[in-house]
Amino acid sequence: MKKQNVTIFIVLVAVLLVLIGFESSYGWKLRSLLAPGLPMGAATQNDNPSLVAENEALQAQLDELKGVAAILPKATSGDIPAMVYSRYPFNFKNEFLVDAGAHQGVEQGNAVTFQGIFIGTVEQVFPDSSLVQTVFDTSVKLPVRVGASGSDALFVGGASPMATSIEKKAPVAPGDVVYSAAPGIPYDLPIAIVASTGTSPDDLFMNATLSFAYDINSIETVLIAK
Amino acid sequence: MTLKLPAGLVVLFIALVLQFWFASFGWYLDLAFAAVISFAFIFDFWPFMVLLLAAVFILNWKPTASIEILVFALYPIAAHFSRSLLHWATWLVNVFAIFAGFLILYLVAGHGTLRPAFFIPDVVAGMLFGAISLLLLHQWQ
Repeated sequence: MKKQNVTIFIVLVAVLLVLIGFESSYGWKLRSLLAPGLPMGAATQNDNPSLVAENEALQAQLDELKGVAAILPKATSGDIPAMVYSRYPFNFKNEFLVDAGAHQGVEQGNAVTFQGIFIGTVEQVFPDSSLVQTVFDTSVKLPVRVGASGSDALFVGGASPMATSIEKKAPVAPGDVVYSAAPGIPYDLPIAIVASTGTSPDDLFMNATLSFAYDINSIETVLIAK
Repeated sequence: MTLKLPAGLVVLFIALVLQFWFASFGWYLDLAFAAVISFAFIFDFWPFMVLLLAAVFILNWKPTASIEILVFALYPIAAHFSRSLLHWATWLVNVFAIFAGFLILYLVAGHGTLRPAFFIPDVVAGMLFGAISLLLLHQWQ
């Protein structure tokens, strides 16, 4: 290879390294130009999770009215709206990036919701963006309550999250809403719906498999609770 | 400048467009990763680095380096420097390297777990795309 060519390549490599290190947002913009708009089929897929999510939120409100005591008012006025950046296309990602950061008032640990459903917390805050750890992360473990009876449970994240450590005699059934009850997160945010119940391997507790009203990869906008 | 770099950019562009297009349907194929692994077997170091960093620049999805993007960047470099270790036909080494690269990427990104339902279609598509890329680039030489 000619020496002149090598010099050009080295300059190009240096420019790309600077862009990757300091101006990564240009890469995101370039990617959004390369990525075609969503076709009709995908748009319909996006609409359905919204409706199902809304339905799930309504079920949670119904449970509240049935007897969940001491419900705090939802803090919606101070929420920060944010767009979800297109992710590096892995379909098992447990985190995503949003376009609101420290400049918009986001702080580490803030709850993140989609259509009123709790989907994760802010893990890292950058000046104009934030990294959100979703409930599908294996390290997520948070106290929750289940259904109108408000049975205590431990939500365990992962590829197939579960509600665990539920008292065996608790009146938990498929269709019950699992909602947040962890400190630092707004109370009673719906998280998922109980799909089925069973006993824990040690036969001491009840465990519940969960179904989610949304596809985490199709979410484009979220709200970040202040 | 040789013709190869523009040819590599065209292949990378096709890989990215196809990858994003499939992703919009919920099919997550890492065609760009397959393409840069193939580049490791046909390009000299510096043009290869330009192509690799261009791919990283476009695909890196957050301000800090993620473990996936580190594997994405470092594995093809390792493949480039070890390409003469296996004395098989180039296309065979390329396909083998793509399989190994995808396996490492999935194991690292998936925290040691491998979900065959995602891995198998991805690696098959990657090996196919990598083989076609290598063939095209050989003819472009």
